[in-house]
Amino acid sequence: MKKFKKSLAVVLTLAMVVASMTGCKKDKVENVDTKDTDTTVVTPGAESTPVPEKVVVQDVTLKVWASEEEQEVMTANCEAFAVAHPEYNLTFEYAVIGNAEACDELKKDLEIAADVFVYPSAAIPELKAAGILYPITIEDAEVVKQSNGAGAITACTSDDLLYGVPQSPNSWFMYYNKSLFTQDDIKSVEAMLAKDLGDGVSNFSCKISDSWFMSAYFYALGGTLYGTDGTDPTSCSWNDANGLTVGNYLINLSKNIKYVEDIDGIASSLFKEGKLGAVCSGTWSAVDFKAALGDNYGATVLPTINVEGTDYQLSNFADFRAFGVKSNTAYPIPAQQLACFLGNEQSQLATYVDQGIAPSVSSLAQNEIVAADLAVTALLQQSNYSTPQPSTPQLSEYWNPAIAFGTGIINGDITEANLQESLDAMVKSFTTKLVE
Amino acid sequence: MKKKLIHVGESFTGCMRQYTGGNIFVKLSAILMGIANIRYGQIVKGIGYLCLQIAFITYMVSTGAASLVNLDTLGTHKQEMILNEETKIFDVIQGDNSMRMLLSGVVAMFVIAFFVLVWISSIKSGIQVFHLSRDNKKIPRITDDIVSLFDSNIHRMMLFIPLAGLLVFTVVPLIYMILMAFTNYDVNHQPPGNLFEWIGLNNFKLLLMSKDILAKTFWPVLGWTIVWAFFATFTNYVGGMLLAILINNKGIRFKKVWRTIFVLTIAIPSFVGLLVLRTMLNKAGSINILLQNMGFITKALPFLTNATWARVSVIIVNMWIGIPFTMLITTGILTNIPADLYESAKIDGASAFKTFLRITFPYMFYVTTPYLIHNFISNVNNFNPIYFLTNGGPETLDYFKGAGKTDLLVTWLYKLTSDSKDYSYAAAIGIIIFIISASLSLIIYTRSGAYKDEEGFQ
Repeated sequence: MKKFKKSLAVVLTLAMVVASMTGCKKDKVENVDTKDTDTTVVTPGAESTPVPEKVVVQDVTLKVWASEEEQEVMTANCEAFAVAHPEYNLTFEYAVIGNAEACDELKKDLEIAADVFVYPSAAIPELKAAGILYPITIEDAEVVKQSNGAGAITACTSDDLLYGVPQSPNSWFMYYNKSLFTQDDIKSVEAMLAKDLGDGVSNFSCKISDSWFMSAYFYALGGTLYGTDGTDPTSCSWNDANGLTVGNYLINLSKNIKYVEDIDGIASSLFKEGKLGAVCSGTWSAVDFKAALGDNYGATVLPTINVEGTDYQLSNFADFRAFGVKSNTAYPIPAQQLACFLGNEQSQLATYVDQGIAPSVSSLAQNEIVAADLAVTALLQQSNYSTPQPSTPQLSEYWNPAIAFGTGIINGDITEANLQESLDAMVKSFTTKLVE
Repeated sequence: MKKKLIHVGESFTGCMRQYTGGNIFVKLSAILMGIANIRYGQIVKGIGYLCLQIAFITYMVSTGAASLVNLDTLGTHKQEMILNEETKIFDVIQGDNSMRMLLSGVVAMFVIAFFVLVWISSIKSGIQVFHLSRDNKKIPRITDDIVSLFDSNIHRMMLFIPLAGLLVFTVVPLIYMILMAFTNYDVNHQPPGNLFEWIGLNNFKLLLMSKDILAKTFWPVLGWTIVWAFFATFTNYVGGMLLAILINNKGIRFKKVWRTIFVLTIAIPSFVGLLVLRTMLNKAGSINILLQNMGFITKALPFLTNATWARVSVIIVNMWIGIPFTMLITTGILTNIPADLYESAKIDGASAFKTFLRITFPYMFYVTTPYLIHNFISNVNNFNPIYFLTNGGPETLDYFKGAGKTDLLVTWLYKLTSDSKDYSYAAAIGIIIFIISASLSLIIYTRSGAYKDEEGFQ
């Protein structure tokens, strides 16, 4: 019994300890009274949050993502930012996540994602729908809007809010071999295909089975994807009479022996060997092509296509690489300021000089160093003929059916007989959602 | 099966009887764990149980109960952005993250399940110590218990870490992903900006029964998967067997050299070989160029771009990868067939083909039935050849999003996850694949000769 009394004492003490600890229970955090609405913009004046005093130095840690080649110049630009803002005690963390992987990494875990990152403006609809992007609304944004061309700003804006600071046009144009084509030939696809370049040499390549390139043909004849401004998820005109014309044009183009479809990079290889007159690609191929062709290296805007007697200009998607800020950043104002700084003229020039990345700031197009670069000039000039990429999240439904359509044409599965049917099926896939 | 259920039922009623037959301390130990142990002298063990109970209650009160509620609703508040006039930036009010809620809900369920097991064990140990004291037997101290872990209970100690690892790293994520199949977590419901919710069996209905494009994709893909698995297994098996018999033939010299040559292909990682072959089979690839140069064809053959050609190409290329393996296995078995069977067949005047049909093939088939079943099921899930050779293509407008004409269920699942982020459909397909594979294996194996008649052959 003595042992029992001892143990009972221990148990009761423990119980008392537990009881006293219940008082320390954390109160459940009360959420602000919200309705179940979409991520809306509400503009009434909420309670004011104190603006950080300029006198007191604030400790700020910002995580920045950039591709491996850009790490050095990104570090330099961030250091310049730190110098320009003495009111922040800045610590930077860098990680190697480039333009292509940024979206996937952001979606994986936003907690550990970078505060400022580079991403393609085409991803704005899906990232915004997923609540990942922070709208950039500080004063510096006005400078950004004025220094970049209208195309760049439209690409980075959604619902009148700026979601990215443009860094570089991320689009495509045409490279050509100066020894095979003259300045007149490259103006139209027909002129290029008509010229006999000799045995074993093809004339033109613009990948039909890639949804990014294929849209150029439909846009050329005035087709609209997701409405005239790219915001209507239920509308697509690509299966109307014009679309049918384009479809037939593509079928004939794919059958033309002088045309090469760029499957598994074959067109690029042929171009570098001098066996292809012109190929459509972006600035990522510039260094390679220049090295392979030397003096014969040429770059220009996209050609026109001739349909039923009229010339139409091929129009690419206007896509841009932009700096974005994540929505759950701990330092919204410094992060937005950093994004705007990394996209300003000085940073863009430094990035161009270091990496050859085309700048988006309008004033730099006249800069002599930039103007000497053929690929960049072609890219910047092509942006006059570009169509802004649709901004509706429905865009995520566009890519696969478009590839399927293009592949069908290349394989010969889609012929004139079933062209209208295929166009209808494609447009239906673009504009429908599976479930709500 | 019935016996097992009866056994469980009996042990349960036995436990209940012992519980109600115990004294006040045993009954109390259901509410206050460990009290019976303490009463009868097992102080450390008793306090241990008590601490576990307190820890569990603390967990439930702080996060566990909330997690369970969240598991049910999967979040109610969406993320909001409100423009702050003063600072001119948006205040982001974090909403509920449905993905995190699903995960913490699953974890909470496992913690509760684990605690229930601990609770039952504490009651059992209370009953046991009560019986020991009633019968005036020695009550083990904590040191005795620890020593027994290394001795009579060593199986418990050794299995603990692997089991714990299996539970945490395999079972919990598995349940989490299985549950995803019952939500609508797809590309339009990505956290943190959106919530997703439970939709029950909707995904399965869409996949299997609807008139929607999803069902129009699922059944053809399933059909091709079964066709592929059958042909891949069959061609590899028969091909390997024929090759082994050929090399094993009495007339062939340098048997080992031949075998080594054919086995060399195993040395190349399969996906490297597949990627190279993909370039070779291209419209402008080396095989087409070779055939054109030799004058056999004028236009490039659509090895990978026409649906039927692509399917045949995949099966043939897979033979190149799989035959060495089956050749090795069948060689081993061949050398085990008693030679006198062949001799007596020769004396009776049987042709080579009849020998094969009556002696070799039945013997091989009997021995390799489990291997064949395993091979068939693994071919149903054979990701490498399809994905690296054709990438599931050629793509077609008839199918949902990125699915192509040579896609298996498993490659389509991969595309849904990594390319289009439609996790809920991918999870549903995964469950369906499992059901198909498991039921097929069980049915075939239990009906096969190897299972029914393990000893005999003849």
